[in-house]
Amino acid sequence: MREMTDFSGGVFHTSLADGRAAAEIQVTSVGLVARTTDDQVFEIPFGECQLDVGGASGRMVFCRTHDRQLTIFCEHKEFPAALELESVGEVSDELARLFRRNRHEAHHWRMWLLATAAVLMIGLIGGYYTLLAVARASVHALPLSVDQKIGKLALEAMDFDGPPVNDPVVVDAVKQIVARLEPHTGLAGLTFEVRVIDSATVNAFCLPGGKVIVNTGLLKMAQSPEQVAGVLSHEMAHAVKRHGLQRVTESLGIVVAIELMVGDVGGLLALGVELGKTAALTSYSREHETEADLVGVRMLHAAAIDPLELANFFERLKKQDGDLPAAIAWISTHPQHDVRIAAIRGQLENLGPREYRDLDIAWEDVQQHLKPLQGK
Amino acid sequence: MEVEIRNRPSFANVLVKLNPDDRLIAEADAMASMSGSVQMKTRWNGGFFPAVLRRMFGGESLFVNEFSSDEPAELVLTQPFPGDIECLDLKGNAMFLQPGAFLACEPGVDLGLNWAGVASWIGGEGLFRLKVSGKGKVWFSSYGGIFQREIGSEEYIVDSGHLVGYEPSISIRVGMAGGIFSSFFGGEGLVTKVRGPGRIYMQSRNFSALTAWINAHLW
Repeated sequence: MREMTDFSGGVFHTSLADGRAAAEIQVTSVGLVARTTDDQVFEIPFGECQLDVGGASGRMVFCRTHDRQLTIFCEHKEFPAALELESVGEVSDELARLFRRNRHEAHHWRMWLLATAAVLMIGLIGGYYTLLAVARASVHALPLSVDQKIGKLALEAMDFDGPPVNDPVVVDAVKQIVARLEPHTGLAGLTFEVRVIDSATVNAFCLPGGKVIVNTGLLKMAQSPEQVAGVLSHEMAHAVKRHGLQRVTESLGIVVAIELMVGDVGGLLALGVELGKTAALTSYSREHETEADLVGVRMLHAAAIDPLELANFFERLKKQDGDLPAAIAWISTHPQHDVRIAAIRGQLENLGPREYRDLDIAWEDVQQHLKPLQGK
Repeated sequence: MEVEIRNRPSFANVLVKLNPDDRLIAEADAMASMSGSVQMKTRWNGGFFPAVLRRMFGGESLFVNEFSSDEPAELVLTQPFPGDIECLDLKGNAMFLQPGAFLACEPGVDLGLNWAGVASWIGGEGLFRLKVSGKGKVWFSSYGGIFQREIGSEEYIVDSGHLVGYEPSISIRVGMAGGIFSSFFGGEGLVTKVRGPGRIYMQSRNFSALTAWINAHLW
């Protein structure tokens, strides 16, 4: 097969109108001949050819005269082979050296790039988690009024499963349970408000700032006020540990982290309302659930309410689970109750003995008052 | 076909006087006004797959418009951002244009997409570049003014986002303006290092700098 000797390329020379021109390049046995589109001819013998390799592709071969007045260049992949062949090895070593240099530079660049990318990635990830950790810590430095504002606005914006219950027997019973737990939260300044909703869905939650919402479905399901106290202690613990606000910082990430650190909570409030609504309804992180269990059990223990009643309520829900899977929202957002029952029992062993007192609530009476409610 | 670039350099636009049998290819949405007799045909920017590639990586539109007229007519082309427009007269040579710079060309010009490399992408100059080659005029636009420079064998440094076009004989490297500290805290970050022989076109303003400036004033 005959080797290629004619290629498309170009010429740089001061005599050309624009200093350069496209040209057809012929590789001859004595050197390079370039013929421009205007039929101007330029020649460089191999003996006067200073080679270089580069260009945008990194594969362009330049042949310059010693005075650098004339440069002929070509990017065709067969061009180096034609040069070697026609020059009978005169330029082989130089070409090989130049391509080797380019490969070495490319390799050097790739390594530098990889190292820089790795350093940047580590820096970014580290910086992100550091900022997030600082933001989490900053949550506790914020006044409780921020939680209360978010809770209040979220409460106003929420769609409940049913209408509020005004029956004083039912509402007072829940208030009494909350009042028994409230002194033992360990967070001064946090007060709780109770709202009972007429809904068959077995659910209860606590909005940031201490707004406790309990569905009649959950009250009906509970066999004793202590079981309700068990659930509420866990939910109140979320408000005590300010998990709602922490979720806001985690969900909104770095921007909020920075806002928290510089003390600008204006944007946080607006965004917090939306997240505050869902914070109580959707699941918290496993870490937050475990912490709420721990704090809840501690609160129950301090309030002299038997924490085992929470475990008993779990057992009861487990049995009912098959019958009412869709209605038991509280369980669906709090998975793995077997693990949690075991954890509660384990924690109780460490808390030491205590004499528990039943709540002074006529539970039968409360159940009677719950019966006529619609429970939508 | 007579062409005039008007209102330079801030709000440049191209006034084209089309004669019968003249044709002009322009970026979709480049037309600002035209005579009623001008016919506009829309087609894929070099076929379906090349068009999608150009859209995704070249910053160009999926479609190009081909303008022609059976009688003398007028056509005004413009760009979406304030800045200048420059004309290249290709005579068998080629030029690389940065994503989004292409505005219009004569039918003899080939538009191709060329791999620019990861280095170019990291330097903020795009993963691909538009290669214009063949014979005919090409109009390309810049954000801000356009200025050109002949580059010899010595290295020349252009800040990221300022390079608009360059000849294939130009080699491109991305690097830091100084040391790590001065590069990032001096506000220059990564820069493009070019080496000739060849010509480069630069723009006097930088989109990334503008968006960063706006972003800084939003918060």
